[in-house]
Parts: sequence; C-alpha cells; structure tokens
Amino acid sequence: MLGLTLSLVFGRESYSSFFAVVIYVGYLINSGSFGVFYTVSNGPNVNGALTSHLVGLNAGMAGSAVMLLAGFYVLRGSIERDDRHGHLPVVTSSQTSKPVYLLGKLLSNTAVGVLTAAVLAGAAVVNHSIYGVGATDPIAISWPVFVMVVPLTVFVGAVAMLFGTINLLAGTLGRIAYFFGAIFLLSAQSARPETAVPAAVPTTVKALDIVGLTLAYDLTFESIQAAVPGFESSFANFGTGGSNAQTFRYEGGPWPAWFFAQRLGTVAVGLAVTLVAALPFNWFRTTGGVVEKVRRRLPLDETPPETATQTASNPQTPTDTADPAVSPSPVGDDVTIPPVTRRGAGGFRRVLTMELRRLLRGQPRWWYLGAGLLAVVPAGIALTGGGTEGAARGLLSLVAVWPLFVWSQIGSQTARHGIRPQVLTSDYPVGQLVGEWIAGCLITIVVGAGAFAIAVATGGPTALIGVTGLVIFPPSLALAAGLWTGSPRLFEALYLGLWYIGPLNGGFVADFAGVTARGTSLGVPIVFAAVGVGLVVVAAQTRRVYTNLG
Amino acid sequence: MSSRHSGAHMRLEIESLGKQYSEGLWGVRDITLRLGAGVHGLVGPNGAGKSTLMRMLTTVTPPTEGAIYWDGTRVSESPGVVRSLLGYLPQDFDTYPTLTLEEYLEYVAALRGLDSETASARIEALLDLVNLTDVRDRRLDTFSGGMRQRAGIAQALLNDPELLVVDEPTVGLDPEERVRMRNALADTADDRVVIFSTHVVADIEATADTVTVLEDGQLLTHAPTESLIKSVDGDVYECRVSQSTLEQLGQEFPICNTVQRADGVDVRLVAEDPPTTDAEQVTASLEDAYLQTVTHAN
Repeated sequence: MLGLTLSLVFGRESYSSFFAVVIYVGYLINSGSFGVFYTVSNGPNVNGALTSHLVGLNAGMAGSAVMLLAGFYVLRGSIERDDRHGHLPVVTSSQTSKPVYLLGKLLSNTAVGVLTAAVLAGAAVVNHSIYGVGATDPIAISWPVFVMVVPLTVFVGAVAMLFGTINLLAGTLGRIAYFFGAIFLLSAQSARPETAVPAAVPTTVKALDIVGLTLAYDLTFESIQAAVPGFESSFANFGTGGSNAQTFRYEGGPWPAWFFAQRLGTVAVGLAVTLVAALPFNWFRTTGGVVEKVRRRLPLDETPPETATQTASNPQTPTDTADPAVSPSPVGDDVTIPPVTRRGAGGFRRVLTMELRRLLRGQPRWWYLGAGLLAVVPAGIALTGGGTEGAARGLLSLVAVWPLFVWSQIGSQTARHGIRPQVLTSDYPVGQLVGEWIAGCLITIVVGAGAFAIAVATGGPTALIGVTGLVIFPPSLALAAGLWTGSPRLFEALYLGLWYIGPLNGGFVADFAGVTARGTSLGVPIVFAAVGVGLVVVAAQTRRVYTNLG
Repeated sequence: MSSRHSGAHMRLEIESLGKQYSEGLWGVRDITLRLGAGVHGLVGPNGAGKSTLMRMLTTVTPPTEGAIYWDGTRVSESPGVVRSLLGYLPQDFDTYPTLTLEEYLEYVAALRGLDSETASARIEALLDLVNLTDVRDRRLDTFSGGMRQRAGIAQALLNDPELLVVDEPTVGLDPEERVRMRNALADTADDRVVIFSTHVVADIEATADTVTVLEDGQLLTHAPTESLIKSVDGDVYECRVSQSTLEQLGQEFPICNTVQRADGVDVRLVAEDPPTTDAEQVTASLEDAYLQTVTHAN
C-alpha cells in the first residue's frame, strides 16, 4: 500500500518540477548566493562561512520556506485526483473510514516531504564538496533538513487536504487565502524585539518559527559574537543580503529543545487538521458535508467545486430517469436540421466572444460585485477629478489580484475539462488560445478601468507603462503556465509571489503593474509586458507544433 | 501539397497507417482502408487500437507512418481541410462545467467556424434531435452521464460534418436512448462518411454499411456488414448442454452466447458442423461473425 502510494506520488510531473526547484535551491545555498545573514549597526551585514553545519541549517531553512510557500500548491489535489479517476467510490466500498483515508493521504503527502528533504540534502552535500568550507560532513548537512522539512510537510499537507474538502476554499480563493496565511505565519517572527538575545525571545515567536529564523539566531548567536566584536543582538535574515566583509563560522552544537518541541507540535497540529478535514469531507463530492450545508444557506458562492467532477460511478450523479426535465417521449424522429451552407464563416471574433463568456461564467457572486465596484467607483472618482497617487497605487495593487479568478481559467481549462480534442480538431486550434488570452486582457482592462483612469489622472501618461504591464503580463503568464502544466496551480503560485513582492510591497524589480515610481521609471512593467508577449508567442507555437501533423 | 487521384466514391483513404507510442509499442500498424459515404463500424477488443485510429483520422495525433487522404488531399499536410468539415465525439468526451448546454454548443459552433445565424438554427434542431431541448439552460455539471453523451453527439453534428467520427457514442445511454441515437446517426449518414466505434456489435449491425475489425492494432477484416454476416451463414448453432459439455465446446468453438437454464445451459456458437446431435442451425448475426473473426485470428 505504501509502495503504491509512493509510486503514485513520485510519478507525477508536477513533483519533478518541484524537485528541480529544490535542487536549484540546494545549489544557491552552497554557492553562497542565499542563506542566513545578520544586519548589524555600524558595519556591513554578517554572513556565515559555508561549513557543513551552516549549510545543513541553511538547507533546512530553505527547504522549510519552499515547503511553506510552494508545498501547498504541489500537495493539494490528491483527493481531487481520486475523485476524478473514480477511486473514491472504490475506497468507500472498502469501508475505510474518512479519518483513516485522510491519514493515508497525509502519509503520501509526508512522503513528498521526505523525498524533498532527501533531494535537498543530497544536493547540499554534493555542492558543499565543491563550494563548501572545511570537510564535507553528510550527516551534519542532512539531518537538519529532515528535522525541519518533514514535520512542516505534515502540517502543509494537512492544510492542503482541509482546503480541498471545503467548497469555498477548494479553488482559487483557497489558494489566495493560503498564500496570505503563509505570509502571516512568516511575519510572526517580526514580533520579536530586535534587542532580544536568544534566551529572551518570546515563546509565541518560537512556537511560530516555521522556517527556522529564530532557531538560526539561537544556534549561531555565539559564533557571531565571536566574529563581530560588540555584537549584542539582531534579526536573523534569510536571503541574498549577505556580505563577505564580516563572516562568522558556525561549527555546530546542540540544538535547543524548544525547536524539537515546536516541530512535534507542528506534526500534532497537522494530524488534528487532518481529523478536522474529515468533518466536511464527503466521499461522493470532495466538497460538502457540514460546511456545504451551511454554505448553501448563505449566498456566498455559486461556483461548483472544481473537485466535484461527476463520474459514471458517482452515486450522486443525476440520472436520466430521475430527471423530470428530460422528456421520456421519443423526440428526434422528425427533426429537420438545416444544412451548413457556409463553412468557416464565424470568424475569430466569435471565438473571442465565446472565450470572454466562458471566462466570466461560474465565478462567485461576490467576485462579480467586487469587479463591478472596482471598475465603476474609481472611474467615478476620476471623472470628478478626485483621487490621489496613493489611492491609485492601492487600486492598482487590487486590480493586480482581483481578476486572478479569471486568469486562473486561462490556458489550462481545455486540458482540465477534456475539451482538447474538440479544440485541436476545430477551425481555430491556435485561435482559441489567442482568444482566451485576449479575453483575459480585456477583462483586466474592464476591471481596472477606474484604477487606470486615476493612475493616469494623477501620474500622467507615464502611468500607461504600468497599465500595459498589468493588462498583458498576468494573462500571458496564466496562458503559458496553464498550457504547459494543464493546471492553474503553477501560475497562481508564481503570480501571487510576484504580486506580493511587486505591486503589494513595492519591490520595484517585480513591479509589473507600475505601482512604484522607480519601477515605472525603469520601465519594469514594459519588460514584464514584453516577457508576457514572448510567453504567448511560445505558447501559441507550442499549440501550433502540436496541431501540425507534418 | 501532395494529393492523389481518389476513387469516385472513396472520400477517405487510409494508406499503411501506423502509430508507435514507444520502442516496440504500436497502437495500430499497417492499416489500409478506403471508405465512401455511409456508416462504417469499427469494432475490436479493448486495446485493439480503435481510439488511436480515430485520433489520427481526426488530426488529434499525427501518424508515425503511412498517410490519410481526404478527397485526395493528404491530411497531414493540410489538416485544416479535414478540420473544417469534421465532427468528432471522442471517447473521453467532457465539457466546461460552468456553461449551460446552449452556451457550450454556441462555444463549439464558434470553434467550428459557424456564423451565429447558422449556429442558432442548428443548435435548435440538434437539441430536438438529442432530446435535450428542455435542459438547454441548465449547467452541464448537473447533467447525467447519458445526457452528457447526447450533448456530445449534438456537438459532433453541429457543423454538418462531412466526416463524422464517433467513438463509443452509445456509452452511458439507456437502451431506448441508445437505439434512438444510433438511428439518428444512421439517418444523418447521407452523403457523409460516418465512422462509428463501439463494443456493442448489435449497434453496428443495425446501422453500419461496412465493418472494420481491429485486434492488437492490426486490421483483421474490412467488409460490408452483410457479407461478413454471410461468411458465417449456416455455421451458427444453438443447443442445450450440461456445464461440463459447455466447457468442452468452449475449447473447440467460438461461444457467442450462453443462457443458464434449470436443466443445463443454452449455448450459441459458431461451428462448421453441428456440435451436438440436437443442435439447431440459427440465423447468423454480426456478433457471431465478429467472434469468429477474432477467434480465428488468435
């Protein structure tokens, strides 16, 4: 059983991509590009010599960060796959209880964590032997990775399952909600006073040390004191901000008991979340149960769960005989079907219109309401001469995320819903792709019209640079990522990360929407727009190659 | 663009067609067929290569070797020629769940290059044909398997296809609906090539002008339905035997059907001579001919 689960888990293409990213992270850590560093007053940043012990710690932190931010998008969908492939009724018939089934799923998710840790540790050991300082100690490098990553996988995998069992969270909204939840967890570390020495760090901060920042501070504190005279306290940072001007050397030591307790607690929370997921879980629709009953009474969402693919084996699939709308009387014997006298008369405009309609169908009501307000209210403000640059920035940030529900439908849905044969054999195998991209751009223009008007009114014509990036880049990324993976998950994970760094937090390098003055002046949105157009061209070429039989 | 002279009534020509999936693994190999207007049944056991052949005919997947010609035009060089007049119901047919039936058909009509006027008129009529007019405004994720299959048949007929390829069109339909659908497909076959794949040989017998039998990716036979049935005429027997005799007969002859009775088993089989003294000769069916063909090949 475990062997079968492992083969199912490890045989998936999305996991291969995930592990490729993990291997690259292993390289970054060992080449000194990425790792733990400290900022100190009156001096350059301090980073650590790449000893085996520090590389192990760095690898554990990097693995934890990747698992927290990207693991959810990789691990979710295991129940959906069982549902789509008709396995759920089979499992039901074996009288497996819901908690046991979900715990089994959690086990397979945990197996992904074990393999992630193994891949990362292996990459770290190999790279340390090339770039590292001192002797390469495989044990010192590997065990921190397993201790840090595997328990976190239990938690992330459990949350992914819980979201998959609740209708409201099973789709794009859940993916956005998780992203913000993960960011919130990470930001909890900033609650520590900067002047606190390791022993004085509050327990709550330690309990929420998901990535290991406080652990790193605790472990390396004395090494930094030895390397930097006068060092009293600092935040541990994890990223690319190190400097070789001041270097500490961490040679290992006993890990604090609180961290092991924290990881055990993470596992316990994961198990508890799994058991909670059994409440809304429904064998025949992976969404529903208690939450569904409550939700039906509230006008929150009329979107059917994307996990609720109905199959012939699904007992809840409606039947012809049970359907009062279907007349049992024979119809069709005397039907005259008008002939088609003009083939190829519809034109691309009709394809575009249909793609627009398809993308706009099936969103929750509150999304339409929000999109309408976002389009109309700022437009009114702009027309009356109101609005400030600050308001424009806030609105652009919002416009850069609100249509995510629509963009997620681009690129992947023909494969996801089995429409590919109809599209590939149609008059517009490439036109369909271009049509959904243009439709995505048009919807962005409509939703963002008000924000764009204020941005131009307050920032002048240069604001159009940001508008260009915001209109073109997201649908393009969605199209390419969706086409190549057959799923919206890669797009959502990449896009939310970019949006968080750029439009939301003002990181000009990722500011594809022209929210920051620096990003706009450097033409960053134009670069993103150009990349977007390039992605569309490559995606169209991919479809063209696929449909070219020569 | 290469083309070839086509026979007067042979619109679809398949020349030595093969599809290789990996080293040593062929989906189909060396298939040569010439098909004119009419219904052409495609039968064979699971994994025989029926769907692979259909995917190549519909330009979904390119052949590894050989060629397909439509009215003399090589399809691999001009796939658009076939796509513009193709109707296709794939085996794993599915739909966008959030669209209503009518919206979905309008979507397919746009992809098939129909103008809105023609699309509306044909959707109206096809909804009648497949008996789904009353549910045209319902979302497709509320449809049963049978209703979805009928929606699939409607979308395949939307553009008045000259080449209609339907892979297991009667799967999921109740018996009454199955008969209605196969008759509807047969009725639409005037002046067009209809390729109809199914496991239900009776559906082929009722509708098809010719039958193509595939096994293990190889073409076993391609013949007019009547002539294939005639090939076993006089060789089909029914008799009542004991369970142990049935096992013996099964080792010698293709068993077409068995029915358990209180005093034995009624068995229908294909044999050159009466298998038992009380065996009665009965009228042959396509299923008898099909089983005989497949058994002989093995």
